[in-house]
Amino acid sequence: MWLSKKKLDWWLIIPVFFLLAWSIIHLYTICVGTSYYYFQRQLIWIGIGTFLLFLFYILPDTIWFKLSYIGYIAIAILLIAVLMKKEAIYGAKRWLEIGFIRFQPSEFAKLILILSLARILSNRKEIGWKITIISFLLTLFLSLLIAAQPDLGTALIFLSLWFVLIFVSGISLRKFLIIIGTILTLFPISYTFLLPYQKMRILTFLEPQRDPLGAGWSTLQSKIALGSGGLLGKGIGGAAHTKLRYLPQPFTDFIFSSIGEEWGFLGVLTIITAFIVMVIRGIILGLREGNSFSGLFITGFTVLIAIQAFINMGMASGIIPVTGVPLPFVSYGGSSIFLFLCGVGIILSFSKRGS
Amino acid sequence: MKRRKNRGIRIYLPFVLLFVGFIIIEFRLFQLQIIQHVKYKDMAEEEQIRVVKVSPERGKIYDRNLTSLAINVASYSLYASPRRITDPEFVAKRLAPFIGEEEERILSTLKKDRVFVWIARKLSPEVKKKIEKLPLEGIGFIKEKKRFYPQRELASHILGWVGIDNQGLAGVEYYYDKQLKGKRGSVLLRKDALGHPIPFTQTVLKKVVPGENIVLTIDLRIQSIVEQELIRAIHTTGAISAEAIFMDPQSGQIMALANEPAYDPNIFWKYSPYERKNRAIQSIYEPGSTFKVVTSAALIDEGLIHMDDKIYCDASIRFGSHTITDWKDFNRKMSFEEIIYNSSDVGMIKAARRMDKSTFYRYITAFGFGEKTGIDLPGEARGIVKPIKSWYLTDFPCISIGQGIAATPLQMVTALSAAVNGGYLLRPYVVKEILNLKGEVIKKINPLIRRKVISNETSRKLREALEEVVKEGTGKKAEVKGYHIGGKTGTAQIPSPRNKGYISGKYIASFMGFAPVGNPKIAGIVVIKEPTGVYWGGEVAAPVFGRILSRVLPLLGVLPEQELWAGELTVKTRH
Repeated sequence: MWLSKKKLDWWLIIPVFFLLAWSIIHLYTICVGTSYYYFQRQLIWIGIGTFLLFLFYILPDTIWFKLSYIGYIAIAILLIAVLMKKEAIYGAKRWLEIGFIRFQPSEFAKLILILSLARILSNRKEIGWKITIISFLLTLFLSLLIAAQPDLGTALIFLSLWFVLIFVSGISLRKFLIIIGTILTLFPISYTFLLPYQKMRILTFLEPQRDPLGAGWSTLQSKIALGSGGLLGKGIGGAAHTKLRYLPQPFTDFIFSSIGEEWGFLGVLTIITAFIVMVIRGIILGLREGNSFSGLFITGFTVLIAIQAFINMGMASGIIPVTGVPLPFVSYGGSSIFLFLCGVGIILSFSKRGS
Repeated sequence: MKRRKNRGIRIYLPFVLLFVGFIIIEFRLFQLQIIQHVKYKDMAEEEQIRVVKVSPERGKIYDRNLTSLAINVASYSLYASPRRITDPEFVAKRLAPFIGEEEERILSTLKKDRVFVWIARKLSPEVKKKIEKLPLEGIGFIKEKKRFYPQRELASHILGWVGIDNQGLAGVEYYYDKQLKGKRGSVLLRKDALGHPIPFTQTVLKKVVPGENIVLTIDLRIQSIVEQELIRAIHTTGAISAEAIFMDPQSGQIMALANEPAYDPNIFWKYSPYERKNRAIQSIYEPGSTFKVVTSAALIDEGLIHMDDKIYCDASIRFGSHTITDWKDFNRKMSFEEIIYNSSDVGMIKAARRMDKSTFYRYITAFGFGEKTGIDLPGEARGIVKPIKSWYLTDFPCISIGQGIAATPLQMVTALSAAVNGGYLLRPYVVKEILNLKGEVIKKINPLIRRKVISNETSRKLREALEEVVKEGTGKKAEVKGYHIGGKTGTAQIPSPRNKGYISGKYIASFMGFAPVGNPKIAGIVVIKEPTGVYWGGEVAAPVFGRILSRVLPLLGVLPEQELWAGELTVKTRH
């Protein structure tokens, strides 16, 4: 096999650090002439994140199984604490301050959820209704806490993670079809519970001219940034549309569009390729580990990377509605960077055992 | 083994779906970045690049001594972005007391479906500060220059006023709008999403040409003396209005032009159209006896009369069924000079008979009646001179004493200037020079002689005859001790707008004159409309003219000529 004991998995490491490097360089180029706040902070996040990655890699791989449920309780408390807060940023409560550290518990909840689901679903010959419902309730509880922030996009990611993981862990097709049927029935009903701005986003997505200065504005500007980039882009530092602040959130949610403006079609194609390499490597590792705790974790985490990449790029190119989902390894933000580097660290700690 | 294979498929399936998603995104990106690239590139340009109009500062207006009459001050215009206002009722309610506008009107403005609306233009910095303290969203200020007339009512009819966009609407502001406003420029610049221009990205498409500064012929000191005296005259006579023009009879430069009641051009909209009208050049009236200057000039210039020719002046004179009665029962022989200074109507009519009506008509039109003087102010009236073909039996005698003809005060004083300056009919004007921003003269307006009307000799004779009016005749009250002043009184009735006759009991008293007689430096007219009580021009208008000249002549550097005045001075210095 290609993987020998105690050896780093370069097929995973290389695309990850390729994207991190790109993130740093890109943030630098769009910061030129203004403040280097985002660039400097991202550099610190990636530094700390890389340290955590190697720390997790060195740690014995057995501790993740033990920590998963404790982590679940801890993250649930943090998510409740977030909702107790009074002030909101951009109309939502997502942040928590402990001392001088400010972070988004919902990002770490993704990791904890995958660990917990991997633990409850792993090494079972048959997934019964009891396990199905318990795992669903574990997922639903965290989803509802996050949906209440409100952050519908992340909440839906949680539910899809559960959906994928019960399928991969070997639930019978009959049970799975019943679950799909139930979801399809409940979906239209749940629309009525959405907040006005969430409905607006969906409607705007269906009909972009509906509100060109409101929710449709972001999508339109994102498309203009990408489209004006063309094949080769406007060159390093030439992303006028990003720099003139037409593109909203150019460091976080819409970083993909600003990369597309600066580096063009070839640039974004390279980004997508890096994700594909990373995901294929995840599939191979997941397959090798089977439906063990580590196998389910690797698969779940790879799915998370792929889903977030898909949603973020889809949102930037205007094929899915705007939700605040960061692009893994690229978007600015400590919580997101830590989450993905920690996750990769855990995968590496599993993979070092070899087969 | 089967289980293992099954699990393999199960792992692949979600990823296959996600990879399909990635492929869709790649197609989408290909569509956006390659196929539709040009479209989005244009959209980006269109959003970022804007053409911004740049307004130049309006030129200033100065009097002849460079005292500021019209300047520009900083002001702030309040705008709103209605789409960003969530509670227009609240905003309207809070703004109303500061901008002096009704709440409903502000509200209807705020409810317009536009990105940008003006709420109030050109507010003072104080009001701006107060509004900025209000907790209101979706409103903002743009700095604009506002026209300001520091002298308020003074010279207001010459200056005129400007509209909200600084466009000249009356007076010099209107007539010289092209020079004052300059040329708007335009600049191409990149703006960010918040509308802030990006530095160093400007391309000048059209250069801004600043407005030129204007220097008037008006002397503010003389102007204020004239206005003070007119206000006093209205006060003492109970007249409805008074107009006066003073000019340099040698050049046509207007020194002062006043209409009372006047208006403040800073708040012109608060005044009636009558108050704002420059009646001295826009309103016509029957000049009455002042017109005898023209009749006399024609007779003397044609050599048809000598000053000592005697004419018998009856109490009245008949033309067919019409009788003209003199203002005073003279019933004696008078010399032509006496006829002028006593202002005998019958005497002047009899003298005028010595010329034929076409000669008279030629002189009337030569003196500029029935045509515009060409002054550089808008809305000048032509006056009314009946064409000679339609003169009836009574028209010739009536016109010779200034009835049945209509003129503006400006036409009268222009004609008088020609009569006393050696016979040159000039174009009166109010703008002396045009200056650029640095204060250099870029255009100088020179006197314009329209034509020679009478001979120098005739002019000299007229000056002497008109001095007698002030010395001995009806114009005694215009006398200024120590100076040789000439002039002519006039008392005219006001034609009824409805029928052919006159409005009974309503008069226009006027006096026009000049000084010094030997070499006139100033010519002027004072017209007082509908005085109550005494209404004779010699009683009502002449003293006003005299008072004005007594204050103005020293300013012009004209020293007293007569010894009497010098004697008084020596007496005074002895104390």
